[in-house]
Amino acid sequence: MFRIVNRLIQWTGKYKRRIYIGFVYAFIHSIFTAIPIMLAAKGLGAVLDDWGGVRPLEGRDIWIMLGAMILAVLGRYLFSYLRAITQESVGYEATADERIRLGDILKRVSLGFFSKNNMGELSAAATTDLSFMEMFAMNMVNTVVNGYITVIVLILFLAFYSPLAGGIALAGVLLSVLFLHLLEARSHQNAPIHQKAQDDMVESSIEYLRGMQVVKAFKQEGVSIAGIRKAYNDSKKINIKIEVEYMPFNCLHLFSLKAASIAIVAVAALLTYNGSMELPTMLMLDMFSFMIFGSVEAMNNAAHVLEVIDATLDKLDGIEHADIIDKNGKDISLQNTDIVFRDVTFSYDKVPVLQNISFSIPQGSTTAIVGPSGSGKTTICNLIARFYDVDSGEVTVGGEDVRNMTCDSLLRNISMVFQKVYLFHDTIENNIRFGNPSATREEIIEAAKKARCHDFIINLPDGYETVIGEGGSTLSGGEKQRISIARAILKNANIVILDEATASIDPENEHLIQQAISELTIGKTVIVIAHRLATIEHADQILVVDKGQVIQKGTHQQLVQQEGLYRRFIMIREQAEGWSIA
Amino acid sequence: MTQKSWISIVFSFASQCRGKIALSVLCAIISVVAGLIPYWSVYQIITLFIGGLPVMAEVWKWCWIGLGAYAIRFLLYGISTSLSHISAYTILENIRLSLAQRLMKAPLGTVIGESVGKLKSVLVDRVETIELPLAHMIPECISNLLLPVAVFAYLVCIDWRMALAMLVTVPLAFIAFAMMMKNFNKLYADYMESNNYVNGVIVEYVEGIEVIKAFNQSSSSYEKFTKAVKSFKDYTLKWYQSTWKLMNFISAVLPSTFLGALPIGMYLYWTGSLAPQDLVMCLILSLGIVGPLMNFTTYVNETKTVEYAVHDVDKLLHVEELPDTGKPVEVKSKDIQLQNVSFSYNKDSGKQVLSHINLKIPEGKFTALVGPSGGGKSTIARLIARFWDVSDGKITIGGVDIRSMPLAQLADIISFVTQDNFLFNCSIKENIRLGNPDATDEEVYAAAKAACCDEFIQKLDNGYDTMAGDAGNRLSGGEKQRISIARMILKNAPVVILDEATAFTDQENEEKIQQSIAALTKGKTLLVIAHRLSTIKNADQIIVLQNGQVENTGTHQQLLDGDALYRDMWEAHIGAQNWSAGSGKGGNGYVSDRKSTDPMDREI
Repeated sequence: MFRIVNRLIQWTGKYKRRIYIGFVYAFIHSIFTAIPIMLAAKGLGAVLDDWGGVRPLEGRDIWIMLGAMILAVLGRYLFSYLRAITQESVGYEATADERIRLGDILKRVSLGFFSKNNMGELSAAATTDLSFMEMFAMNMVNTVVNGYITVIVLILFLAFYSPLAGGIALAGVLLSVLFLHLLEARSHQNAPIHQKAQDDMVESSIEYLRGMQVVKAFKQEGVSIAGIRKAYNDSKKINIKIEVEYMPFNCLHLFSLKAASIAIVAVAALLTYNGSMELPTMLMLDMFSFMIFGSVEAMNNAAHVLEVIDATLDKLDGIEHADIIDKNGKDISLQNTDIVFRDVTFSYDKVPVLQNISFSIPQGSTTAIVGPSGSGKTTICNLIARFYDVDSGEVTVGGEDVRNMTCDSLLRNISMVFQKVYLFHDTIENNIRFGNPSATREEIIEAAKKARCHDFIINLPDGYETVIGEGGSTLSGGEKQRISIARAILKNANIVILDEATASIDPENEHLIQQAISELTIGKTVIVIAHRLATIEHADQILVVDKGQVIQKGTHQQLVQQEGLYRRFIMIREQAEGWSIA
Repeated sequence: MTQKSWISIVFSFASQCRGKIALSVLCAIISVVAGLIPYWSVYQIITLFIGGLPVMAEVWKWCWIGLGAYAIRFLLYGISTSLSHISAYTILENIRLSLAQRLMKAPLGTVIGESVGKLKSVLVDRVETIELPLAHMIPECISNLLLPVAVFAYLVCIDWRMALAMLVTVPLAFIAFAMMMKNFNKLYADYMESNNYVNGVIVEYVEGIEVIKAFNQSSSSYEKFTKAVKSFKDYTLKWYQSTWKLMNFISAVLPSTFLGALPIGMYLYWTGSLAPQDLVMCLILSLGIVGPLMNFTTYVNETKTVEYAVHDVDKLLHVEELPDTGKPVEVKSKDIQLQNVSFSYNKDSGKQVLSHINLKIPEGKFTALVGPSGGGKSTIARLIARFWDVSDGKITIGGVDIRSMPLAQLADIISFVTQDNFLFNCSIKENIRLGNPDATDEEVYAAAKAACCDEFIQKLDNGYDTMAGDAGNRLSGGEKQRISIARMILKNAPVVILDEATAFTDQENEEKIQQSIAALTKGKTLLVIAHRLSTIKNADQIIVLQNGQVENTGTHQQLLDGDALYRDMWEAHIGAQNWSAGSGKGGNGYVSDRKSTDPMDREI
């Protein structure tokens, strides 16, 4: 428990000092919590003196008592407020910092990192997991550390009047910590079981939702509901089992504290009976016994929350320690845009993807890469943009090994158009501006015109201010594609990497997209993962890739002469493009 | 929809655990009472001492009674909390199942229109947030309310003025609390909104990371991301800071029950109306109610969480059902007819996707739907399969309105093929057999062969017995598509609808998919929505749709001669096919100067 709290404090980094200052306020705050009890003892003492005829009670005594009580409450308020403003906001500030830090790291790790870590999990880490930290991190520091500070202060007060009672209180707290520790161990053990039940439930919910169309088409509703019923039922059973398992430890934790309270009462009574303690002191101890453990009683809930926080911190650590790809890169401006692969070998998760590939792409030429899916076409493009690093050999751009450059200085020279268009939930103008943040409005319109999207944009009710993906402004696939091309045109980089869309788009869109691409690629060094016959036929150089190797290289004219994969490929393409049902 | 209170919604799912909840509450109450006994014990001990003649044996007796009472208190507390957890999880299970069943009965179009992620998050995550507050609130709320009331009643018996004195801090705290809650609902809603916004931006950032890497040239993060994170932080901090003063006031004042009890108690003793041991008792009891009072305040926040989650759930529980009838009707032919069909997704405000459509899809013929995207092609296909019901007009098969036949019967008539090829996590053989549960193994193999998937299935480690989930990562999109076509072939429904199923994603499989589609569609009533016009040029009937209306109908040749829109589309298609991406050579001849003002390009 304390290990996790410490980890949490370390996590807050530069805000650590404020947490420590908060502990000081918490300490003073707990003194003010104890004062009313001592005042009460003093007041009762005066009452008993009066009762026993030692000293009569005066009206002034009562007024002093009232004043002292008010001061104690005000002191309590002041220090609890001071603690809140120094400590509580740290959670929110540290979370915001962490999110921005994650954003920077994610931008600088290799893309392989994203396929190894599920995208959903990465966004969950930055959203829900960190929200949880935001809300509970400081709460937990407060509950655990300040809780124990309070109980220790109170035990010290107690020990001042009776060391034996103080010792008993301490024993009670230690015993309860032991039970908490057992609870925590159990909770740690159960965490993976609980997680699995949760994952199963998520998985079967998704299968249920995704499969609904098929289920209905084949009238399998009963089977499908039975599946999800089982998953929900399992989750219920496991959760109940876990909760019931915790219960004895919970109760023992609470009981050990209460047993200590009773023991304090008994000791106080015994000492008073023996005459070694005054009656008012006994009364004070009795009152103490009822409130002394208040701050640690709720600690059992903290144990669970801290387990979750621990797991979250593990996850964040995993992301933060990811290898940043351009740690040693320099900012280099390129003289030309010749691209050369020399003996490049690359494997992904120990599975070889490219083996000893060599080729060169001269500045200003168009190179088409063709081959079956999974042959390594996309990987070649990703290596040029240094989304990954090669295992051996080298990739040079303009004569410079890409590993010597920072990602920024390399990517300045490259425009990429992806097959899966990704636009941000932002205005069309901002989406295009993404290609060049310093572009003027005129330059953006110019790029949009070249990409054949200006006309449809100005016909939208909000024109360039239209927010993509909102309300009525859902654009067609082809329109989105053209906006992404406008973005690349605006960037105006000398190398264009293009992943040609395979899925057929509406004919009218296809036509416009081709025009847009033409604007983008004029005079550039072009690498295109090609699927369309026309593109392939007109390339200056064709690389035929199969099983991670370049097996044929040349122009269309040269390659159709040769027996081999290329010729077969072209034949099948010709058939498929002209295919008709019936 | 009438706004039911969240409590009644929750309890409508608690039918099978009413007993447990009642027992849980009973245990909680007894536990609270047992928890009061130690106070009484200590009071007795103090009385012994103040009386001046303490007997140690009596003191021990009362200590044991107190200890025993605590043991009972926590035993019953354990039982009560366990029972309430069991009840809470049962309620969650019931809520989830009802949601799942409701979704199954909703129009398919409604469900597939929502993102799977969002629906999953309601089914799993949102529902989960109810558990903890629910499990703790059932017993604890009741006991925490009961205890102060009991103590107060007891104090009234001793001296009503003391009872009031003890609670003097409550109105003070209550005023502060009311001030804090004044704008709570609005602020909480604002908070949720800005929380959703920042989460949306983060998810977008992660998903778009490839683009961000490729385009973002400065070394700082994407500005929108940083800005969203910071402004969310500022917003929440501002909100919390505004509440800290009041919040800490409450947490400092509310538990300080001595503030009134001590001076007033002393005063009452002074005036001679309160015995010293009664004063001690009052002080001890006023310590006893601090805990429950404080606990009570934390429930207010939790109640809000539950309330929001329950209302989300409730909204989903009230999605409209697609009406289904029980008895099968005789369908004489498979002619499909749309009579004056209009449709909009949203009944109240929606723009019409289809307006007054009349068309006929004759039995055994090949009909194609073409037109600019957004023209309503897919909607027609989906209405025939009853993903939704039409807003106006009717759709008939063999003269029978599809709304008057059972959904199961309609499912038997139609095979609906899309690009979404969902395989269940069972063996490939069973996945295919779904098409016809009575099929023999041989029939399954035959269907697989017809769909060109026999070859690659044989190559899998366990052949037809390979689990689709295990094989999932090794099967390409085209292979999955062929398995789902095999399933359709086995189903052998008389009407086949291909909705963009010809927009292949997998190049080298394209030819095989084409073969398998040919096998599936042979001799069937066929309706095809194709993006590539060459695919459907041999159709018996091509229907051109634009802006939700039928523009023209005819064969390929008739339309080429007589329909400008179709001719343009065809030319664009042929043109695009021959066009190349390149460096200003060759294929650029196709870049025409024609501005993209043609109507097909406007699609919003």
